[in-house]
Amino acid sequence: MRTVWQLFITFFNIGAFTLGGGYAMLDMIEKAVVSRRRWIQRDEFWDMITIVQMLPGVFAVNTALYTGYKIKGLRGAIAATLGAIIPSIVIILVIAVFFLDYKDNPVVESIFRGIRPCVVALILSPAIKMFINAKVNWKTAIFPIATVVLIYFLKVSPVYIILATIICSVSFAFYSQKQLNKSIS
Amino acid sequence: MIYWQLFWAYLKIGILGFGGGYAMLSMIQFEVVDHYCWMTMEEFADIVALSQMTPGPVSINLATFIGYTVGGIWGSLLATTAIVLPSLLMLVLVMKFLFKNKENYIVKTTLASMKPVIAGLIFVAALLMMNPTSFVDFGLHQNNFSVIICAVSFVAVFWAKINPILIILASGLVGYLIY
Repeated sequence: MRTVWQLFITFFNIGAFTLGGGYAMLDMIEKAVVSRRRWIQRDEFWDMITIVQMLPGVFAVNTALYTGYKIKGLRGAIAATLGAIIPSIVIILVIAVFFLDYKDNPVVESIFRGIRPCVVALILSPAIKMFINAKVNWKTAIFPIATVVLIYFLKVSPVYIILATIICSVSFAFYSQKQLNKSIS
Repeated sequence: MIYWQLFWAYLKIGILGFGGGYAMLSMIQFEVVDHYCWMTMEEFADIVALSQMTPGPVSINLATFIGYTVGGIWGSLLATTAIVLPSLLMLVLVMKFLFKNKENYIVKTTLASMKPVIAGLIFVAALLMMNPTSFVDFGLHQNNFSVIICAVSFVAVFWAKINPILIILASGLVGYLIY
């Protein structure tokens, strides 16, 4: 029971004091659960993270879930996750209450006029990084272009595009495995 | 009714949110702005900025904020629960399957081939925010300060790798001074 409580507190602290989202939290989580508490080994932790990165959903939540699970089973998973998200909920609720009152204030409005173009740049940057990471070439460029045309111009729901992508990617994976086996044998 | 819609929208985002917070953004935007018309694109952009500046996971901040705007305190708890729930349910499945087959060829190839689409998804999120409310003084005979802010921010985050929170704060200060 003590470990479950410690897991909650550890992730609560990380959730309350880390700015910059999931990847910034990762460093803090590693320090807490590997270096300080010695709950899991370093390579075990990073092995787990490689898999967690591939999962759908909120990265920080998934990291908390799997770290907690490794250390103390399902109760640990739930404790770590609650710890990671409760500070967010509390802080955001406080901000939201004020924001809805002050958003039409001229000073607040002028600040946000400066922030909005900045947000565009902040999203453009990971988009381009992902293009590089995915090694998009002339052949595969059709996929991001089709995604943009379907969602932005034709207003197709991203849900259908992701579902179609999953089906195509799984089929492709099975096909290429078959080809691979053929070429070996 | 609105609670059920909020729950369902965020459940989909939790199940299909591959590729991290930025890739989820276009899905969230589609549900919240285009499909259910709960807020304008401008309000959405402001909430995204505030969620990035606040400690904690950005997608959780965003879910709580959107939930609160749509349905008060209960809305915020509902949206946050809905985005976390699929991950919790998947935990057992993944523990049984993925961790036993760490070098699984099918899983690896599937995820690698999804990447070009994820790049497109993030790009859509940026594209949707490139509108007249984000660039208030865009035009041939205008100051175009907003375009400069965007360009400088991009250089700062992409090449100089400056902390995004500092860039948001600096842009806010510039906005306060010139608008």
